[in-house]
Amino acid sequence: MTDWFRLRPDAAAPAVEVACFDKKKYPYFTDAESFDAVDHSVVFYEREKFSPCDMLFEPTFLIGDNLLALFELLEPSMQFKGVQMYRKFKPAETTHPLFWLPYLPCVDAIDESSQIVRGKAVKLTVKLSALKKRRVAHCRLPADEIWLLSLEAAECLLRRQPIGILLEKVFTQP
Amino acid sequence: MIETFSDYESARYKQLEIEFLEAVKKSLSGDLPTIKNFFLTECRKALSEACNVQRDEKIPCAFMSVSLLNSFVAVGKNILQIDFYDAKWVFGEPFARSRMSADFLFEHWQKFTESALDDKFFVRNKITQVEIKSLFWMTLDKLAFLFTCYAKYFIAELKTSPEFAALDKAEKFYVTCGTYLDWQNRLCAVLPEVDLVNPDANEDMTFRDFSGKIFRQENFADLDLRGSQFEDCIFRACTFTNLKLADAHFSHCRFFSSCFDGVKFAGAEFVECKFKDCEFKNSSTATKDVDADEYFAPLRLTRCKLFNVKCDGCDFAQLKKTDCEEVNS
Repeated sequence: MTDWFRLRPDAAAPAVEVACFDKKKYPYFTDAESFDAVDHSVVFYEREKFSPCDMLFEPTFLIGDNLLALFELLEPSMQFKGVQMYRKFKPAETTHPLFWLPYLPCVDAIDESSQIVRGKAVKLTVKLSALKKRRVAHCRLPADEIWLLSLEAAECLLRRQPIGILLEKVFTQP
Repeated sequence: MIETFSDYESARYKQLEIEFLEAVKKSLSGDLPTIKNFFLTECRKALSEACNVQRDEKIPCAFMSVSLLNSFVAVGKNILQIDFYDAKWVFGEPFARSRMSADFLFEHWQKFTESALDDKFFVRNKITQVEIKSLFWMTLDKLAFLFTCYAKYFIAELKTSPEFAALDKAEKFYVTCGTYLDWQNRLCAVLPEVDLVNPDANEDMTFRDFSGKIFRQENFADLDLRGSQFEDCIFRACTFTNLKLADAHFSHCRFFSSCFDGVKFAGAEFVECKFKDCEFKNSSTATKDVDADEYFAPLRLTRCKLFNVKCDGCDFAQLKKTDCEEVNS
């Protein structure tokens, strides 16, 4: 019965140049192996000001610290590892936001009627049967990391006035 | 030019939000019959569908919950969702669900959001659009609240519809409105009868129905009778002391030699009622005495008869009399 939404970055969010993100350590797709290989860590950045954003989608998907409790509540099986952003240059003059690298095993919920171009979903359709009793789901296409929220989860997220996030309603099949 | 987000919020956004909500109030007030008819028609359709589910699944309904969906606003659609829950609400799923357009609430939304994001008023590299957008969800909360303040006055008509009567209701049934899985305000209810004269301690007396009752020399004190409905009741030599009668509705009731002392009347309505030799003391229609943030209609007296009615020390600034007959001896 429920609707599903895909998490997307707001194009208006200033780009976050996290120059020192090791893409081998933090690949775009976080799977069990890459998640196990990484530990809570500090990542240095050089940008003049870290514009506030409650999620990062590049170089990998990260959740801001003020949303951690919500995701833990919505999906208790999710695991997280801390990524402390720290500016090298004049650190006393700025904030050092804490993010969390989430891990949730992927679910096969992408319906074959989805339109996929070069490994990315142009029109995403999900199978409700694969998402039963879930509120957060993680799916993958060859070039697309997809995080889905149920209606309930999306409403909970928006009540927290998140910054830099958009929702995209996805089509559903039984 | 505004340079910090907190200054932007207090110096510009708050004012834009006030203007937006005032514009919505004006639209709601100006087009109320159309909005009411649309809303009630959609509610009746939703009730019919819920009844169809109940025919198969035999689930008594405890809550009919109307919610403004922020997630749909986020994707460019304005939707009110109506969910029907059994008594396990919050812990269970709705057994029936319907949706209706909420476009009537969003007539001024685009203008408001465009004004809020207009970067002529703030320094772009110090305040981002995404920060400003995050404030919109709080404003939607206020919009939903504003709608509940109006809906509470026309929802009573839903109770007279055949679809409402057909719904199998739990012992306590509420119609509520608010945001999805978060705050919900009660609009009306169907509840068991209670004893108005000797209520149980801590009994919730709001949204109760009293019909055809006769009260003689009773003192009703310190009760919250918000949203209660009185039909064809007679009150002889009764006193009403420190009562909250916010949004209470009296129809075809008669009051003889009765005294209202310290009563809060914000939003109350008396239709075709008669008052003879009655007194109102230290009573008020002021909304701050009930809830400063909520919108209340004026105290309305419609086609009432008032014979020898005295007022002393009352603040009835928000009072509307229509076709009333008054005689003072």
